[in-house]
Order: sequence, then C-alpha cells, then structure tokens
Amino acid sequence: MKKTEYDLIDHAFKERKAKFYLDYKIILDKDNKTKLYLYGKFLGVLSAKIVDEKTVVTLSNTESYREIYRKYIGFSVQEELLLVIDYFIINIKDKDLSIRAHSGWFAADGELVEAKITDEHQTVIEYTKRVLSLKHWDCKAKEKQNQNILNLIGAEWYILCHNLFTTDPEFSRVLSLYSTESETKTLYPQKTKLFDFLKNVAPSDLSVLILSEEPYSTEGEATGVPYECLKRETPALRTIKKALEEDGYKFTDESFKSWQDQGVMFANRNLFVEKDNPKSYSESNTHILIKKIIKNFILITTKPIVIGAFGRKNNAFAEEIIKFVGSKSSLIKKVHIGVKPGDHNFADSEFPTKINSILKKQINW
Amino acid sequence: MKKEMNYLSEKIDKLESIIDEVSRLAAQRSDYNYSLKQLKDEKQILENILNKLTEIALT
Repeated sequence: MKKTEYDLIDHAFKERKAKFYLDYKIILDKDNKTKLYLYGKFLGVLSAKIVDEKTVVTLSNTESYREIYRKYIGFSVQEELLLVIDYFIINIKDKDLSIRAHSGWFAADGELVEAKITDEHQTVIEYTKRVLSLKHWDCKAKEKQNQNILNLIGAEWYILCHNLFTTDPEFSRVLSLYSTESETKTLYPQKTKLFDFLKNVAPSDLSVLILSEEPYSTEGEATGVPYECLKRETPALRTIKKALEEDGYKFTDESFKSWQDQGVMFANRNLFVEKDNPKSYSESNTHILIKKIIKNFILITTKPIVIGAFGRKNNAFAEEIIKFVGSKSSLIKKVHIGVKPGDHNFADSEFPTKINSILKKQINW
Repeated sequence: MKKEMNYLSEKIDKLESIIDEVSRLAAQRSDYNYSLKQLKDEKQILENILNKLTEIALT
C-alpha cells in the first residue's frame, strides 16, 4: 500500500526523527488576499502567530485550529495549546518556504516530507513540508513569568513538562530558595545557568542521564553542567578523561557540547552550592525536582534512557527514579559508575562502554 | 521558612511515592480508590501550603 504523506510524518515521529512538524496552508479569502495558516506538532499542538513583512495572520481560536489540525494531519491531540511562537517572517518563493526567526535565517534541518497543499478550490499552490527541530525556533510564552521559565529551561522542556514548571510547587520552591539565599550568599552556578543542564539537552534527544553530586564551589568553575569546567582541568575532569581513555575514547570537547548534542545529560543532585562551601545545600532536596523532571519525561515520552549514577547517594537516587516509573522501569537501566569523582573506581568503571552496550544508538564519547 | 518549605517538599515527595504505589493497586482493585483520593487530597493541601510559602518568600 502506498504511504500517504501523513504516514510518512507519523513514521518520522515514531522513529524520533521528527522533533517538530510544521505544516502550512494558503487560502485566498474573499478579497483575494492570501492567508497563510501554520500548524505544527510537538507532543501536542502549537499555536502560531505569523507575521510576514506586510501581514499578520493569527490562527483564529483553539477549536477551529484543532479542527484544522485533525482534518489535515489526523493525529490525536495530546495537549492543549501551550505555547505561542512569537513571530516568523515567511518568505514564499519558487514554491519553497523559508522561515526567519529572531536569530536570523536558518535552513530547515529536518526531514523533508513532500506534500500537495491546496487552496479552498483544490488548486495546488505550494508543495513542501518540513520537519523542524524546535530548538531553532524563537519561542515565546504569553505570560512574562512563563517566559522567564522558558528562558531558563528551553522550549522543548517547557512544552513537555509544562505543568511541572508552571503549577507544581517544587520548581517554584527551588527557584525561590535560590533567590532568597543569593541575597546574602554567592551561589554557583549563576541563576541564568541553573538549568543549563536541562536546556542544553532537548527531551527529544535525551538518551543518557548521568547523575552527579553538586556544582563546583570555586569561583568561575561551575557552568551549570556538572563536571564541565572551562577554566581548568579539575580532578573530576581528569578522572573522566582517564575513564574515557581506558575505554578507547578521547576527551576532546571541554564544553561537553558534543555529548549534550548526542543526548547525554549531566545533572547534579544538588542544583547549587555556596561559594567555597561544598555540600552547603545537600539537605535542600533539590534532587526532588530532578526526579520529577525525569519521571515526567519517561511517563510522557515512554522513551528509554540509561541512568549513570556517580556515588552512593546517586545510586540510591537512580533506584528511586526507577521505582517511581513502576511498570515502565524496564525502560531504564542503571549503570553504576563509581563511588565518587576522583575515586579509583570511577576511572575503572568503563562507563562509556557500559552505557553504549545498552543504547541502540551509540554515543561517540 | 526555608526549613518548613524543605520539610513540605520532602513530605509531598514521599506522598507522591505512596500515591504511585496505591495507584498501581487501585488499578487492580477498586477498594483502594478511597485511600487514593484521601492521599491525593492530602498532597494537594500540602502543595497549596508550599505554594503559599513560596509566594511569601518571594515577596
């Protein structure tokens, strides 16, 4: 049986090749003015307000949008509209579509799905559909407060765990704790980088979670990503290098970016620390938020991840996450990495090989 | 207030674990539904208090 365009899109989502689906329809209204309708999918539906150089086109309301969505795409709607993309500049030229976000021109990097698009008279007027990664989009939330959250955690996490970040008290508690404590103390990492570990790894990419203890407490060392240090080679980094070398890999990227791009997330049990005062917030239970994020991630996406845990507390924590997921616990496996960074066991743990032996898509460590 | 918020957070976390367990049981036997509701209500109350405390802390 010949695959329809929607089969192709559905397949792309199932295979996780598609992170964001963009579709558009051009309709000529009574006055012969062109109207451009845009609709998309990312574990739900996006509402879009579109601005080209001359015209503003806004999808009229949720209901009609959902009807359009259902009519043309045929997916079941999982979530209510959560996000408004502020604007794009659309340029339709030679039957192709380019999109400009605030940050400038970019090419669609996803899978191209060809499809006929017709106007209301069934005339074919355009012929292209693209699957885009949401990380390229300049996204905005309606509420200023939510915009701040979106800036901290990134659009994909904002959409995926929307309730957790906007209504669950745990996220607010951690943020308020940081804010009040930072009035009298110097905390690391700085607030804008507090959730970089999350922001730098989109949920659609996440396949490995490595749990660490806490950020570096020396000035200028904590980046918001555990173990990462752009200032010097810390003992923890040295042991990571050693572990990689012993497994036949070479540590080349000081910024951890290549690992994060491949879906490896490093998360601290204690999200922040006071300057020169290690373990200063080890009793603050910030790990509860991490647990909630991962729990939400697994429950919503049902995507398997491998958890690597550094240290005894994190091993217990990893067990707790697995228990949390309950019947879905077979989705995740724990790799015991070692007792603590700098410890002999850490370097001997062969964690890159162990993790790769579980994953379908290998990490290039 | 930091301590109280921390305590509440821990308490909610524990309740959530219990709710997860009881939800699994309730899926098999309906006589757990009442306990499940009680637990959820209790969690909601604690969450409301924590929200309130967070609000106060930020002002």
